[in-house]
Amino acid sequence: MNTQINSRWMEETLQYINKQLHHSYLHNAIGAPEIDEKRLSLLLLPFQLTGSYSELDKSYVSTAMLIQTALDTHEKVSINESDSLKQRQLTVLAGDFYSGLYYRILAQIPDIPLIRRIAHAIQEINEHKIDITSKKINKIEDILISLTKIESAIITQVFAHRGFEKYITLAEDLLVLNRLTREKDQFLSGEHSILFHQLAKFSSTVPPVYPKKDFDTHDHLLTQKKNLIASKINELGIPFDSLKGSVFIPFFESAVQSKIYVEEGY
Amino acid sequence: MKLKMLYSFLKTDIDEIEKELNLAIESDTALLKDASLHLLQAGGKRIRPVFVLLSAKTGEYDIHVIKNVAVALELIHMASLVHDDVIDDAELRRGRTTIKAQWDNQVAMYTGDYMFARALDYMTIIEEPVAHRILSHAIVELCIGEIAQIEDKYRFDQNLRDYLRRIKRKTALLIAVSCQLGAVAGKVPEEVHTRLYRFGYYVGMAYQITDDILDFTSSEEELGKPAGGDLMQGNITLPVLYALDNKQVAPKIMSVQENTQKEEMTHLIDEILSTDAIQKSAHLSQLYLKKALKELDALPPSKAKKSLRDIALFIGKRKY
Repeated sequence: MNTQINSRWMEETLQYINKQLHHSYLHNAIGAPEIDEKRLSLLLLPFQLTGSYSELDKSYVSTAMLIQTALDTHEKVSINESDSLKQRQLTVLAGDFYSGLYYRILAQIPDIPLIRRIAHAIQEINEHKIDITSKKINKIEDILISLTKIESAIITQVFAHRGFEKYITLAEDLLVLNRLTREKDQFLSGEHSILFHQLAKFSSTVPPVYPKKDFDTHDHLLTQKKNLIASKINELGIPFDSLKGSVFIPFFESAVQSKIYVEEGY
Repeated sequence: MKLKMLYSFLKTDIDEIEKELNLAIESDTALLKDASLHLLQAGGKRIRPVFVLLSAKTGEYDIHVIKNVAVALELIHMASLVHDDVIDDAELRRGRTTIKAQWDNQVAMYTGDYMFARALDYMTIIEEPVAHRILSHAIVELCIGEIAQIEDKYRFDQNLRDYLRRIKRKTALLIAVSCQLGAVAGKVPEEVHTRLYRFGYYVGMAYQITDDILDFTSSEEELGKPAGGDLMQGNITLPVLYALDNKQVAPKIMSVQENTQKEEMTHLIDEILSTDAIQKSAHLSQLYLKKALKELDALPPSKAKKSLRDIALFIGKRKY
């Protein structure tokens, strides 16, 4: 595996995505969108393993990143209207704009089956988003199912479309692990965490307190996922050592604790 | 005469589209379904589906195919309304509470994204690549137009070209592609669907200019919002641009800002109405309508052609 080629693919794809997303007024007013490089490295993983990455593949990967950026941008629209009106207006429109870009790229190829697949993924993601924000969920498994779909539905469809089905469950586990880590980071930083909000609903105390039990549940989920990921990497025969820095380790890092769990597990 | 009377022969097919729209928003997630239904039941003119159907009548008309385009375009329009209500912080739409008011911004964002995805899902039933190139281009341009509208707020040095480009993206494009995509789905030759695109574009331009005129000439009761509301929000529309040519009125217009008082605005509206801005705007709207009608000349006579013509004329004469 040539790491130089891999980082060149990453660089070229980032450039292409940024070129598509560019809108000077929007970026001056609300900032350029953050591209989730962890997700991008995961999208590139099967191409790295097969050693081939065409211009068409770059379009597919970029499309997945664009739609993810669109959905992430819409997540920033506040519920309590704490941001300025103009910021909120432009955040809504930026998300709509990025989502239009994904359709335009696939229409230009043209790849109508992938347009359909991604449209299905977006529907599913929004159904789960509404479920976990509005419903009382009684089982931790249901929260996990929703978080997994929200995080991985797009990548799943792109991998399936490109014939990389065998990497789907690994991608799901890595993305949900990342989400679980992020949820805890958010909670510890005093931000809203949908996971801890739901866990609190299991609590019988009023108002809900976050007992050690919730952190234990969370840590247990993390450990489970890490073990699953380890065995899948082995099963798939992925050369972990040569990819750990560029693909895997970032998924195990916590912004708050800055711990690299993965090295303990391998 | 009511708009609906102009295409009454399409009633069965329009009912079919209404049914399909109800199916389109079916979801296992109850709240998502409720929110979508809340908007769907508020009704609307369904003018985009009507343009799709009428344009498709110029080719091979199969409602089972055409309805997918009509539903897709109406869902895109609905998704944009849901997000627009978050943008405008609107509490009411067509006399009903908006999704963002009934639930919250987050539910509105998710519902809009869901509807947009449903729209593309319907659209993929149409396999002609050109249909997707047309629609995706229009969607991106529509977003750019909405962003430009915010960028151009209270910018009094903009010119006619800025305004026309903005309303093209904001309104005319979706009407233009409704006509064009109906024709593409009806498998007409390129020459015909581009002609129908131009027809829709000119009608859309006339429609938006008329809307911008009515914002000054209608009462608060007719508009459902204060007259001159566009200017108060910083939107520089055609009557304002023309009124800016008047040296007495221009400085007063340029002093409008977010906290301009209602009485001040009422007085300013009267001053704008005393210039020739409305007449000049109406004249430009008529020119667009004439161009629209001219595009229809080359089409063979049919009921659909007559309806397209009548709708264009109706738009030119509408009072609210």
